[in-house]
Amino acid sequence: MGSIGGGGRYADLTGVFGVPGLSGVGISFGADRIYDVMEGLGLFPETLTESVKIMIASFDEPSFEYAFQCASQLRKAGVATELYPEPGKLKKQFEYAAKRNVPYVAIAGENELSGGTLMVKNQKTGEQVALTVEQIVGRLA
Amino acid sequence: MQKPSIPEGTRDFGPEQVQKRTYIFDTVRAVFVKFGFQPLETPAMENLSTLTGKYGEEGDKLLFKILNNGDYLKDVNPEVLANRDSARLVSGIAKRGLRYDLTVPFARYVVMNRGTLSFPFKRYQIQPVWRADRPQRGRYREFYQCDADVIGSESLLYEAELTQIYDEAFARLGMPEVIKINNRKILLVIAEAGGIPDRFMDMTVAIDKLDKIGIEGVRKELTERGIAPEAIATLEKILAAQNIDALRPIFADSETGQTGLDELARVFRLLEKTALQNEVRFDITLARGLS
Repeated sequence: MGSIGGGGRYADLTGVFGVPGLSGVGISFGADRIYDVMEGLGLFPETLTESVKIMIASFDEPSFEYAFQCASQLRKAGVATELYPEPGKLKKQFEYAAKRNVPYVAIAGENELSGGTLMVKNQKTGEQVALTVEQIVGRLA
Repeated sequence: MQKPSIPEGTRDFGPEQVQKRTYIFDTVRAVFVKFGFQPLETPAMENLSTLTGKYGEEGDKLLFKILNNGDYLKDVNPEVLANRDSARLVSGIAKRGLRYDLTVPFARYVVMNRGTLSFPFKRYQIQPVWRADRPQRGRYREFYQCDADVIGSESLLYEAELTQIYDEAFARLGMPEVIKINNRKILLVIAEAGGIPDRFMDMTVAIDKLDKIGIEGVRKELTERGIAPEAIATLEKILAAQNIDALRPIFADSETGQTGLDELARVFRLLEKTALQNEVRFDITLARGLS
């Protein structure tokens, strides 16, 4: 790999614009080269592309409306949240979450709706736990 | 139906790429800020009078020029048009061009604002630049530069601090690097010792490739550039010196050489007691970006 940066001193940086005698020294980072090296060595943190922390999936219209309220509360508390746009089959919703690299998926099911919770699944470990919005904020914010 | 495309040598950056690129820029920016550098942004367009003649003849050819608005041929000398004199035509139909690097706009900004800036002025700048180069693997017509410069001080403090910036940025990015330092005075003295001070650029371009093409390759390149065998032999002897102390006796008769070595030693002395996380090394062949 070649150089990923370079720099040096100019005895007279501004002379060409009529102000002589100003010495300058500087460096430059080669962002494209650095990117290639980091990509090649797998140096980017895994969490970098997790722009959204949690996605909420819903079954039907009541669960969708409940999920919408939960999403609003989570965002208000600073948790980057996404709501799947159509209630229905969970499989499709989970596939979307996996593709988007979303680390947690919350399900707004009937039990959750009545209990004021969301069933939160850790996409990596597969672990599931029923949590209130406040508890989710406590864990993710 | 129109097939969508982007100009040759340019790129779209998708969400994942932007996140990764932002990570690099944020990391480097945080280090710049920690060392007291202030942000600067300049326009994508500069007047061609600002850009022309600053990057050598080759660079002038690589400037992207912006066609004047409106009836741009109205005031063009008909003779220039008839003769298809591109060089003269350009000055009539394009008065602006795209930024080619960040250094010249920085110098232009400093001159325009010298009354209000306090010197030394330390600025960082992370913006795209445009070059009408032939696109190749890893070479683009639009790419970002990420620069930090200090203007208005000759203190070697900044050579030391800029080295620390490299060190900390690469440490934060998790990529171990070798940071190489050289002094232009040493290269000048080498050219003098070889009796080829008039061939300074040819010499430095060739020896800069030593770690890539080896001493055989450098010898070949110097020969191709018309440097005499005796001069090459002298250069080789000097280039074999691995450190500052080994160069002291070689440069015994050269005041410039001793000053260059003193300056290098000073930078290394400042850095010596700081906890650097990357290797910092004197490299007598390093000569990038001298033109």
